Amino acid sequence: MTPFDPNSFLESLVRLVAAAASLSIATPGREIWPTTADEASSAAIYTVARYYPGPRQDWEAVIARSIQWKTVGPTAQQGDVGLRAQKVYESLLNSEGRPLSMKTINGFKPDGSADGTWQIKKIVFLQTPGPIGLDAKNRPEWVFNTDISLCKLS
Amino acid sequence: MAYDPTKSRITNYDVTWNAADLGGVDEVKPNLALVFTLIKIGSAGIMMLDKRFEAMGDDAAVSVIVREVTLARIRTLHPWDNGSGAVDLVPAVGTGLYQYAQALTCHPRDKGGVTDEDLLLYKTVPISSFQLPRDGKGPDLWEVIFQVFPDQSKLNSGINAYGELKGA
Repeated sequence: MTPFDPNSFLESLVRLVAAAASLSIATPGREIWPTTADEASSAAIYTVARYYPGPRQDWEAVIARSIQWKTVGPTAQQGDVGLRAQKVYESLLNSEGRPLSMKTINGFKPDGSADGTWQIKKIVFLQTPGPIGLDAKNRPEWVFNTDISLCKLS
Repeated sequence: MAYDPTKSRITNYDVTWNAADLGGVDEVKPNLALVFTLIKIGSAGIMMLDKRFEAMGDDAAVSVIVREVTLARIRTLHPWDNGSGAVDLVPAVGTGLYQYAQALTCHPRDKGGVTDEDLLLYKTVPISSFQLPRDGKGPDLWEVIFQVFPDQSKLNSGINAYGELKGA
């Protein structure tokens, strides 16, 4: 079994979404981050993709991980925060509006260097994007969660 | 042999019948059971020495759950329909179905433009009529059954008359 590098997969996934949703990954003004955001280098509205412990996995060799997509922004831009969350959500759909499936994506290491390819086998959306409240800085948060099955192709 | 996750697949089919795209479909279930003659000889008792292929079963069929139900698609899937006015749910009594038989292709979506795993059945006829349940709660799910026939033009040549996976 090839060891799974969760950090590289998350970096690859974030870059996929950034490209599909036209979100900047350049600093300053970065609009989507893996794991945690550097506030000082972020745009006013930004998204963070991060792992959380998912459901049990039965006898199955295909890797599955649960990833939360959280978008935050200024209270005055609550509507735009929702639109951004929706944009991120739609970037994980195919052209007919179904969750990505059997999708080959470019691989990247956390430092941004190229790292082969991954395959997204299946995405299950546990929710559609919605507001869950305010973060520690009283900014509105929009969240949705995904279960993603994947493998490293090369 | 070790399990190889890169070869694990999750996909569905695009279905085409008589060159008509059936649109979004859910489960596609081929039932292509084969019928054999059992080869036995008296001196071996009940022991089965061989099986001789004879045909696909009389109930060989492909079930397709059609989601996008439009009048045009309903007409397509009632091939005895004359194309205008009321749609006849059934052909005239005594009508042989083979005259309506056309090719059915099931294309795995994850293959994109590559057709090497396309399931092609040479001669099929939709025989389920308009059995579409509706309850006001769920989406339209119309199960269309395609009866599989042998291509009668191939019978005399002694070759496979039913269909193929296209291959590379």
